[in-house]
Amino acid sequence: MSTGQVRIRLPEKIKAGDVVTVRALVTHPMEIMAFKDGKPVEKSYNFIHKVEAAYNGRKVFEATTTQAVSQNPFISFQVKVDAPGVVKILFHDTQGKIYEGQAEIKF
Amino acid sequence: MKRKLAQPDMFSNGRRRTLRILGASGLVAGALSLGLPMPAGAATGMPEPDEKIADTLKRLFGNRPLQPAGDRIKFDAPIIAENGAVVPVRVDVELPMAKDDYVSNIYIISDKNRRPLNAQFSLTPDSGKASVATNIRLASTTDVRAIAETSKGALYEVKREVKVTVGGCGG
Amino acid sequence: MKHWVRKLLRFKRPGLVAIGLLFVAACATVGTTVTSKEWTSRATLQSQGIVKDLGGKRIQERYPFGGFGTDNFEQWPTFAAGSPAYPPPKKGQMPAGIKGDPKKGQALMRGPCTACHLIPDAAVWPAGNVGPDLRTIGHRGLTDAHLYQVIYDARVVFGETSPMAPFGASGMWTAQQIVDVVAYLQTLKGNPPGVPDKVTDDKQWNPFTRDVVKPDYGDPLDLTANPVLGLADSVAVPLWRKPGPKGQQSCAGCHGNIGAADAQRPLGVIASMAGVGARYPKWIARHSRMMSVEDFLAVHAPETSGHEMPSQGEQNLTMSILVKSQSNGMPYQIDLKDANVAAAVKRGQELFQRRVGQRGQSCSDCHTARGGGNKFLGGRFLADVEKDAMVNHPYWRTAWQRPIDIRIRMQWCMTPLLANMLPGDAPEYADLETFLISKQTQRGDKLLVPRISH
Repeated sequence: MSTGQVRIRLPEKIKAGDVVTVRALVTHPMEIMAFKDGKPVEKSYNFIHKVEAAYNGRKVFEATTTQAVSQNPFISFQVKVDAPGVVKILFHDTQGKIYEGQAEIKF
Repeated sequence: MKRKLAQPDMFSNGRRRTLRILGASGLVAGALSLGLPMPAGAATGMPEPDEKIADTLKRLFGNRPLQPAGDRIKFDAPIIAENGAVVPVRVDVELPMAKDDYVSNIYIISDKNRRPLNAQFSLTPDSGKASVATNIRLASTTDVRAIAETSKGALYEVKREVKVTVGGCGG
Repeated sequence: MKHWVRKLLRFKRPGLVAIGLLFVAACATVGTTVTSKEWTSRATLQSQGIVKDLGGKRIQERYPFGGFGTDNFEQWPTFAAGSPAYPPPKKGQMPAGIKGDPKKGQALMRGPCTACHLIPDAAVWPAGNVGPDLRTIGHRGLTDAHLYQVIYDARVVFGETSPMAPFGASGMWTAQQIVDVVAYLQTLKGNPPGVPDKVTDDKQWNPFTRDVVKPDYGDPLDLTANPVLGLADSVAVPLWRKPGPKGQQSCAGCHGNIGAADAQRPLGVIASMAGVGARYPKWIARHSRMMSVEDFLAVHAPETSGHEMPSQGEQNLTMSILVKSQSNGMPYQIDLKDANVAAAVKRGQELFQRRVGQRGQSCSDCHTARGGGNKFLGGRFLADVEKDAMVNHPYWRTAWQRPIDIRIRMQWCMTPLLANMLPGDAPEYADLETFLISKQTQRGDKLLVPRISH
């Protein structure tokens, strides 16, 4: 499965002033530490360590994630919407890659 | 869509908080880094040392007391997880989200994981409601905590035991 | 059933149809099915389960994920037609002069036994309850010889339908190991005798009182809950529209375009495919076998569009999801009146009872009320096919973070049975699937593809 595809889902009907649930999923291996002979293998593991979301350019949410978040991470949060616009979500992994997804808020 | 760097203006008018740790990793573009405590290990992916739950709580909250949340937090976690690799959890905090008093952070912490912090969610008054959900990994049967932190510094906690039949965690 | 008969049935009045059916049932010739021996597999190499020599050791190549391993059990029965029957029940003689060590016996019990049996040992988690509670077995006055025989080959004591694996007769355990376990079991008197020792207050520890928790991974048709939708959207959807390598018609060229998604069909609506997934497996006369959607795609796609779509491969699994999801909400309705389908149901039912692998257990041992159906095997709550099992494949398997169809599911079931798997597109598996879906057709179960499960 190719890494870094971001899927976002918003409620079908949104009114001005609603608090809406934003659901997002990114395909990512979320590597976990490997052990050899009972000792952790020292290497840089690739996992999403930060998620950021902005609504019309204004930051509304951030998550610090660890290797104890499941593969293909799913995150859900709320945002209060007062104007039409765009929700952008960035997923940062530990290899410095940033995966972006966006969804439109329409009234 | 895959991008090396996001639009630099994306969070330019966001509510920034002061950078709380020194020497934050330079891997992430400055305009995107909002200064949450981010140990260098996490940003680089290098293994961090095992951590005891007491040390995790101390690292995150210092000596501030954790109050039982009572009905302030609704925490959905399964009592039994057949598969520790994907354990759905949901936290709904029933506290106001006013400009001057809001839920600023929600933490999910699994006591018996090698490193207990699963995730930290940082919210703003614009969130409207302090509700988050994600899927976590559990190495074994453990207490899982949902902790809500308010902008005024209060900490509320709910603890649930999740029994794991097959663990799903090595990190 | 012949094509013209089918046409006739479709257009005549119900009364005539009934008469016609009687006529057809009496006269229809049942085709002979091909078996996995004759069938040229169109499955991926990993799914074919090729047995070969590797450095002097025989192995079966299997999938690299999930823990399939490569141990070869070719000397034991499989689901392949013509595979020898499992050896009949065998009497075991408890050797005189061997002393049992209860400590060693307890350690052995903690292994495979507690997947089915409860013992008074708080360290055991999660114990199952497929078999009887053994917490006070030592209080029942059973002889050592009797217990030895039950472990050696339970069929001698409880009859041919006993779901317990013959640990001694199969060679899985030595006489010494069985004697050790017998010694341990005889110590389980209870306290007071006959009342199980209280080792914990936790009701979840005891599989007889444990809650059955179905994990809630969210709406399976929500692409932020079910990762396979994104995978299908990026693999199967473009493939549907893609002309063949030599300019052949795409899937869309013959079957129509993918329209906008709706609530039941999150990958988009293909009008011509509505109901198709509900009618498979079908008897495909040209190939002389039953075929699921997955089986059919593996031969149909290369023949028409020129796209290779090997069974159990990513393209096949996701295309099957795209096609089957077009029938979401519709009841399964395989053609049970087709004499060839009826014959497949019968073959499938026989396979369902067939003892395979070194453990010599059958599907029915775990998946009917007689055995483990609706009980815990370790921490796993086993499905009961008479009631609700085996529905709706392919699905997203969270434990492996990949889609699997019912064939990978069957192949995976071979792992604990210590049996070699057949290629995923084996006609025998198609018969077994036909039997399972005949139950769903009778019950009127509705399609929901892709599910998300543990």
